[in-house]
Amino acid sequence: MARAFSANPQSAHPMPTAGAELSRTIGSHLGEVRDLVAKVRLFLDQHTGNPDLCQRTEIVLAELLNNIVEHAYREEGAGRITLRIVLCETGVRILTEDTGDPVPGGVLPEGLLPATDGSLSSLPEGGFGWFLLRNLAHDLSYERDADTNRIRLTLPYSGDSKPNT
Amino acid sequence: MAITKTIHGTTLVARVEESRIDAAGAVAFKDEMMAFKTAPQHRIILDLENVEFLDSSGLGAVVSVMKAYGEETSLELAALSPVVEKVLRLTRMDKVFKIHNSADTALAA
Repeated sequence: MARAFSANPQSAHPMPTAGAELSRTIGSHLGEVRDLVAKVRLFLDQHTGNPDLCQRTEIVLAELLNNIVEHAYREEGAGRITLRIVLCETGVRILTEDTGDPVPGGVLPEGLLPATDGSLSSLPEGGFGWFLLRNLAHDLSYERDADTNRIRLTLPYSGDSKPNT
Repeated sequence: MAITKTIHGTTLVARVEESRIDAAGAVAFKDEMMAFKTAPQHRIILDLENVEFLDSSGLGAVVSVMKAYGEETSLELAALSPVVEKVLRLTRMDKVFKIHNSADTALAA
């Protein structure tokens, strides 16, 4: 963890420290998610010189972990969440495991962007989370293995978000 | 959640003193913002200079505050960090809020 920051100033997108990884298990609490997301951000800042990648990963990770606390574990405070992050040549690979409720229907939400062009009173106050996840994450997959939910995704090393549709 | 409020005429500047408005803090943020809904304000400038991170729950809380203050108050955002800017842009909420480089430029506008 104490590896020196080694961003290459010659390149806008220096390569990450391929192979660096981080594994943590937390309890199902929004406050623990906050602390873990902040820790991962520091880890990424240390091992990649790519602020855009760090920002995208931070956004996706917060949405993913909060969703597990709020939905899989119904915000009841019991349960564990395991996170594994691996830096590879193509980007940041993320794996989460929890033993909460299965995703309804076995399919992750579609995450359509709520309409934001209506009147003030019709503006959406939610529904952005899965949109952000779907928009930024690549290779998103979900499996239910006995009593375990397993979600995998990749944040590509370079590249903007997918175009809005 | 610590939010410092200063009044400039009919404009209120609300400066968030914490670094994250996320799912863990969204309710506290909303409660604190609603606590000073006393005298009518024409503008509220939400100064986000200290805020490094906003997630979808935090964004939902900001929208809900804007709706609660209604049409007669303009809720504007100032000093967005790169992550906050990204979340607003991706969700197209950057078209909904008036956005300023800083609270000072917002006050001068």
